[in-house]
Amino acid sequence: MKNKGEVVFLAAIFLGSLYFLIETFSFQVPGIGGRLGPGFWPQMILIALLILSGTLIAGHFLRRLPEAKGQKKSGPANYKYLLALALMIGYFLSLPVLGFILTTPIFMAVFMVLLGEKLWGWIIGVSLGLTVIVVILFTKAMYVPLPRGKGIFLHFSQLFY
Amino acid sequence: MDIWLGAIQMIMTPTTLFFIAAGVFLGVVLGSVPGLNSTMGTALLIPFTFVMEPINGLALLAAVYCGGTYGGSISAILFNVPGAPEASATVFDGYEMAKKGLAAEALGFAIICSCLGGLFSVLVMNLVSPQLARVGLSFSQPEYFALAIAALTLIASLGGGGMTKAFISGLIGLFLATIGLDEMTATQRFTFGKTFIGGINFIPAIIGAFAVGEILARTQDAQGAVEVLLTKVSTKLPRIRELIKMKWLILRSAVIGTAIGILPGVGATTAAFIGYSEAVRWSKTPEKFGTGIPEGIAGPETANNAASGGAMVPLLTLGIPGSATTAVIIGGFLVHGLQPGPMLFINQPKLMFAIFIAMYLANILMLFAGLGVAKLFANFRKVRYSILGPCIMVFAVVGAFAIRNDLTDCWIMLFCGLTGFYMKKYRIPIAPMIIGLVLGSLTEVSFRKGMTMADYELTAFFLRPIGGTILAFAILSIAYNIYRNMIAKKPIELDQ
Repeated sequence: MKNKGEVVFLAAIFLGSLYFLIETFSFQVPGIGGRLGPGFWPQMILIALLILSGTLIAGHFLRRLPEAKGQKKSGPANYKYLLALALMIGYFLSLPVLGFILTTPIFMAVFMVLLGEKLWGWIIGVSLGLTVIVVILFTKAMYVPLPRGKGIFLHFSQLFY
Repeated sequence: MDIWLGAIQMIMTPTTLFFIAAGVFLGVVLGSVPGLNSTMGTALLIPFTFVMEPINGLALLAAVYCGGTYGGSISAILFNVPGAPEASATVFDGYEMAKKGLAAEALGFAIICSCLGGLFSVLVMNLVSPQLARVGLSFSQPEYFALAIAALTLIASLGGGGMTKAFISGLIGLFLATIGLDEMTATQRFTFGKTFIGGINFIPAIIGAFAVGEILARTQDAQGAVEVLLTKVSTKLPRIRELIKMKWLILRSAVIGTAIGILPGVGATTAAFIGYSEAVRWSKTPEKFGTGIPEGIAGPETANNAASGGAMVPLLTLGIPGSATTAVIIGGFLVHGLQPGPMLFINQPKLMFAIFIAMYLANILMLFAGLGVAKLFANFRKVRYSILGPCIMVFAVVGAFAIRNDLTDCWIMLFCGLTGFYMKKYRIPIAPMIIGLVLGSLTEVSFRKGMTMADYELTAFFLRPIGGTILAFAILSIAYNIYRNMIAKKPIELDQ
């Protein structure tokens, strides 16, 4: 089978739908919200998802479609995408601990290097500059709070916003 | 006539004109930055309006509202990140046009159509406000359900040859909309404890599916990451001939937007999606939507700005806000001791007409403010993606976080980004998922409430004049799409 990735993706949708469909049977609240309880609507959607994703999976096995045009071949670039994803996850995990003002320039700088940027002046300037602009625009001008971090990092963030 | 002259006199002072211009500019800027929006802007400005003359304060708030609705389209077109929820549907074709090197044209269509939509709605508001408000209030759950279904039929049109995939995408969106507390029974649904108790806000989902998905795709594609976008971008206004070609599309979207804006609680975002949906439905080449065509911008942009004027109708005539921002604008009236509603037209007619004039002016000034702000933002497209990508990512994170000051929204954004990335990779269209997510709650709640009202008789939905007509129209539309794509086997490419 050439479209392995697509089948895996559709199978994930199928299995996810099945899991959530089972979950809906714990929603029933008799006497509240009329005869169509809280589970009715999600059940309709999930059953339709099961049928459609199942049909597509079956179609893949039966017809053995040629590889889709849009698919990329695996290689060094795929590795970069996974690194970018890991970097984003790391950024989101560190935001509540270290705060926005500390993590953002580091995240930006690393991401720029990952994307192939070589000019360090740009890397440092844009990382710091954008962080300062965002902090001023959101916290000072519009009173929108940004993550401040915890402990010593919280005190550090409080120096700025 | 005396009232009109008095109203013009009230507006045509340097101070009032300055506040209108400043309001429009501020609105466009706020709208164009993800995470900031005109609702926030008007809320922050209300305390300042307290010390102003009522007309200055109210004109300022109305101008911010008009500008903010348009502003979101700038970042939607240039960076695939809608600056405001109202611009979510503009992403579908706006960014695709920008990728083709037609960003200037896309910005031009967005600004002109926003202006035309806004002017149309103010004209309607000006002429038939009280009558329209009464019609709007006669809408009940079956009509809301019919409207939502009519918009959802767009999914069938977007699918092209891969209609099954489009329906899967739409159903994923509808499912995501069910996460959180059930609106009718307050039952927790798929909340994983308390994690998703607030539900899935569609803004982080849109930012994720489009912006983060795009960043991940460009990171994977080593060439894309280091590509230098040398195209000089400036706003290129469309020619009169091009606009005349789209006259029915623009008029239809303006009518739809104004009508949706009048309905309490629906708003400009839904109007934009329905505007887009109808643009696709009536097009002779629906398969081209989503590939970067001006009609895909004209539909939602006309409708969302028309909705902003429409939302002022129930506010001014009945004192009922038609959207979140108009709910905030009520505060602007109250700080001056004014109670919006029918009595205001009797007690303060000049002020009411002056607000209409201020909104006409705001929509015209939006052209100039939009040109300036778009030019400023367009400069960023000339930056290498290795620098621009991380900048977009930071704005995406802040934009998602700012909605509820909750990092859960950032995780939702990342999840949707990853989903969007894989959907794009496996040629599953993303737009239906977003449409499903935006309209999911409205569809479910109006259906369940409507069924309760009709004593669980589904036929009752078809027996109401307005709702029944819209539903019949929607069903015919789906049937036509299925016929065209499955029976007629018309070859259509799914370019996502």
